[in-house]
Amino acid sequence: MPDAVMTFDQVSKRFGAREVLKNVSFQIRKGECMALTGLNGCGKTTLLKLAAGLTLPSSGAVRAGDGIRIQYIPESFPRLNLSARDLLRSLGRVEGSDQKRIKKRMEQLLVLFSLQEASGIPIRAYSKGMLQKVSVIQAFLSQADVLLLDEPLSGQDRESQDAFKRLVRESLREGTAVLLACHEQPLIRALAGTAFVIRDGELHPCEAPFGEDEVIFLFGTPEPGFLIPPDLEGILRTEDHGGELLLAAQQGACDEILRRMLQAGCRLKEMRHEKDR
Amino acid sequence: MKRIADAARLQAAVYLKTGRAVMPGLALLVFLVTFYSVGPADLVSSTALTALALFLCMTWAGISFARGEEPVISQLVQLKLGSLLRETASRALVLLAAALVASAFSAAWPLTKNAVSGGTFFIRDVNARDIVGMLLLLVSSSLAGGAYGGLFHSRIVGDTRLAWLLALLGCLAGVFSGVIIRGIPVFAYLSPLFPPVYSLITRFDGSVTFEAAELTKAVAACWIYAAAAFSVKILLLRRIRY
Repeated sequence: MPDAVMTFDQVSKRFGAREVLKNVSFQIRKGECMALTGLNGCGKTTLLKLAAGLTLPSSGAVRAGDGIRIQYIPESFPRLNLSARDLLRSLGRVEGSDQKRIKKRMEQLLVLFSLQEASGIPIRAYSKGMLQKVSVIQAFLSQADVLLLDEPLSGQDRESQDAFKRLVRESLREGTAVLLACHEQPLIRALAGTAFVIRDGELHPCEAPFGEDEVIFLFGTPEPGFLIPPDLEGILRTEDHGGELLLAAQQGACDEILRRMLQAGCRLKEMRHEKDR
Repeated sequence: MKRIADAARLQAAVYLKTGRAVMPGLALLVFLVTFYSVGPADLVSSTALTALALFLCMTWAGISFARGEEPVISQLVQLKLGSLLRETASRALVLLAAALVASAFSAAWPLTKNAVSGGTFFIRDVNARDIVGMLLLLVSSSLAGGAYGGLFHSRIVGDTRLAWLLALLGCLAGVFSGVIIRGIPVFAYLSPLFPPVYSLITRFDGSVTFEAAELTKAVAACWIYAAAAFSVKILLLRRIRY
């Protein structure tokens, strides 16, 4: 494939006895956005780290062109005792490209993400959403060949989410390949051309994000660590908050899911229909 | 090279803001204050003992720097620099800078005392050759200490207590290697694995000046050990990634 910027060839990754990824093969091309979804711990972050070369495959190979520029938005950002401005300026210097341009870009991004006023205070005082904004800004300081996004929107306000989507679309137009790991179906619909779900370590093409909207349930569970009936179908993701369970489901499956969860002793606390904005 | 230096500045800022450098720095200060509280002192032997103390303090700093690494920042630096080797080099540069600062301070302390006392703190006059020898020995031992401490990176030795225990045992084996070899001669084959601090202490026994041959051997041993420790660390970190 002439435009392929990165190729995964039969890549497997094991942690001890657990095989997180099994013989994963795909190519990502210039200007393409590929989404990865799946349950927590299914291997999305591991796949991104393999793409970045931050971890090595147990077997198989990840191939990328020489001198490829990779930008990465990690899932969580450390609470450093440095100000956002100092950190971003330092990371900009490490990038090595035109410093005047990087500085100007940093100022634009701080304004875009409404972070200019807080940019002088230490990051350790930031909220989760503000931390994620710093994480996003550092990745957009300069042009990349591959952009790796790990749950990029977590905790961010709506304005920043929109700004983020605009930036990714801009990068895609400029030829950047994007690998996006996330749970948010609207984000996948808004940005990705293709989507895969990681299940049992294997990559399966995923039609759901493009085919129908998702329904978000918030259940009160009868006890902490409540287990969802294993034969329940149509569940896209779950988040256990100790006594509360957030469950995202395909629209077509939500009647059955609601009935079975209530039967299992759960209480419905909230339900919403999530659509692409 | 400029980008590696910029990365080193960032890594140093992240480390210094954690406050982890305070304790090894304080330990060195306490040593210098107490060790040089009473004069007159013999310049060569007191410098050799200071080199040992500096080695231990820099081992401490090296461990805390390696184990205090902020993985996300290191990952971002690695991607922005485009190579793990460059990222590791930037961290090595931080230790080199720390070694230079600690050595300069450790040399300046007794020399200042000597100057303030009108040249009576040392049992003989200090000349330029002494100062060069002093700095060479101190820089070399502190670099070896930093490199040795860096081996106990959290990706190499996962358990914190085990890392500190192994570092301590390695230091003890290094300090007492000559004594151990006399009791267990076969230990001589293993001794290159341990920091070359025994020879640092004994090499200058009874010396009035830094003899060029002895100084060269001591400095070379430290630099070779530091280079080997850095190389082993890089090899291991290339295998054991995030």
